[in-house]
Amino acid sequence: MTAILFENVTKTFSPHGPHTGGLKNLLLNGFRGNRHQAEPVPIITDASFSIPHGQAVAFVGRNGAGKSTLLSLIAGVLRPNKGRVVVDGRLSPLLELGAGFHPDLTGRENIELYGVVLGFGRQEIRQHMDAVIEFSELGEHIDRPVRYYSSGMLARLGFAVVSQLDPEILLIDEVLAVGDYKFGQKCLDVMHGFRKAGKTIVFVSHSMQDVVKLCDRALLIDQHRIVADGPAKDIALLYQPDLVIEPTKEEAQGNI
Amino acid sequence: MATESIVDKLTHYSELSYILWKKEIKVRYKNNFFGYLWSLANPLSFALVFYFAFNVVFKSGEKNFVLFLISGLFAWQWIANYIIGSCNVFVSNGSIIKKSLFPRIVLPLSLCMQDGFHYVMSIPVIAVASLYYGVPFGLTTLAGIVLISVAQFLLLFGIGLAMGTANLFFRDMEKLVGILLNILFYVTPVLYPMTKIPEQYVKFILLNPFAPLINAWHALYLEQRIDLYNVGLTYAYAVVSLIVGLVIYRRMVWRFAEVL
Repeated sequence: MTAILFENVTKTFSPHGPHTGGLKNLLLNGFRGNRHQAEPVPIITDASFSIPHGQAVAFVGRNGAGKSTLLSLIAGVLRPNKGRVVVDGRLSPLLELGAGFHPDLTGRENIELYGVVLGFGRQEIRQHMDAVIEFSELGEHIDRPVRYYSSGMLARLGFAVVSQLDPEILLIDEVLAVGDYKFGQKCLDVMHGFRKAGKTIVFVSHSMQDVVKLCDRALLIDQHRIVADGPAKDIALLYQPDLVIEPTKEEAQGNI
Repeated sequence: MATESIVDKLTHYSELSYILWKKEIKVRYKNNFFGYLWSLANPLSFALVFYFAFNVVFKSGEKNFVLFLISGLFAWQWIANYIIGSCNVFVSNGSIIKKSLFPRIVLPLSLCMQDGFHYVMSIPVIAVASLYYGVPFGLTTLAGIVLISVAQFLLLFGIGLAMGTANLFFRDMEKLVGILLNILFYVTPVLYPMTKIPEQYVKFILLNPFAPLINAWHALYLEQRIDLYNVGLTYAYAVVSLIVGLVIYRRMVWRFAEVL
């Protein structure tokens, strides 16, 4: 069973499409004026992979390599120019800190707002409300407008929503880096729990420690292509050769 | 997603629009005590200025002139606010459009619900003015409000869908729309009754989709009459605007996240 399937996916952007100039330019230059210079810029070139249900996969690579675009393609926010993307299961994307939150609403109100934007029903959200609030550890701040939140608090709220509202496929884009150490650990624990429950996780992070701890598999993305695909440990070492991998709890116990 | 039934989908759409609507209403009325009064201040100040210009200076001698003015101006406020707002409805929600997949159509929908809500909230003022002029305000009026509001809602929603989409690709559209709305305001019978327009221009004025709409409101509030000709014409324009709006939106919606 495949949760996410990419077949020869190519995504390009045209940097000088007709839209950038507005009506004024359209009138001045006509339709021809803008088209000739529009050399499409590749973002993802010929990506093929499949992620089975229950796997935790990390996308690893340098800034601008195309990791976030891959997540957007999975989330269905972007459409490929060529190739096919198939997703089976309900997505819970956490792609940007605070996206979907309204600064003037309280944390509690934003949970409802973000929940419906993610595609959950109000009934479901109400059922999970207490769990979300408890997980976020925001305490009394939950009834304060989100505009007074720090970025760490926003990350807590965002992660609490996507993780507590019963996701099937979790997409997490580097947003955990701003939480404090303890909360980061808590998030990793929850994601471990998801893996055990057979849920699919796609994770973008620059922390190879987290990648190795959490993921079975990683894809290395470089220059808009998938250049390596394999066990998380191998790929992490490929990306960061000086990485010292801490033994996991189980391994540590096994060695003693 | 493919397994979702139509019923689930519709429930989701309506819940989303409801939550987005509630959010804006809350934000608007929570932060200041005078939120409600502010939304009335604009059309009322216009009414005052026009009353002075037309009745005091030009001595137009129109009967129940203040009632006439506000019954057109409040509806126009809904038109103008929504059309201007709809230009930016996708642009200003860029962050959620780029980061999550939800039916984008709920954004202009909930915006139209908000502006419609403000219109409904201003109806008591019209009722008070009716009382003042001794013009009846009864069940016919209430039924007419529902009938004409629905027509206006659908007409505006189609236009807003097209405007919001077009403004993503031509970001200076809003400026053009602002100018066009100014012109439209004066060729729509808001400040003068339709009967004052010379015969040979009447059919041109009726080409403006807002003209029959405002005529219908005037007939309702001043004469307690559901003017089927003008209401019907508004519904006809609403159907055209919905079709055009939906076609434009559906063709372009998959590119929204790219151009934001």
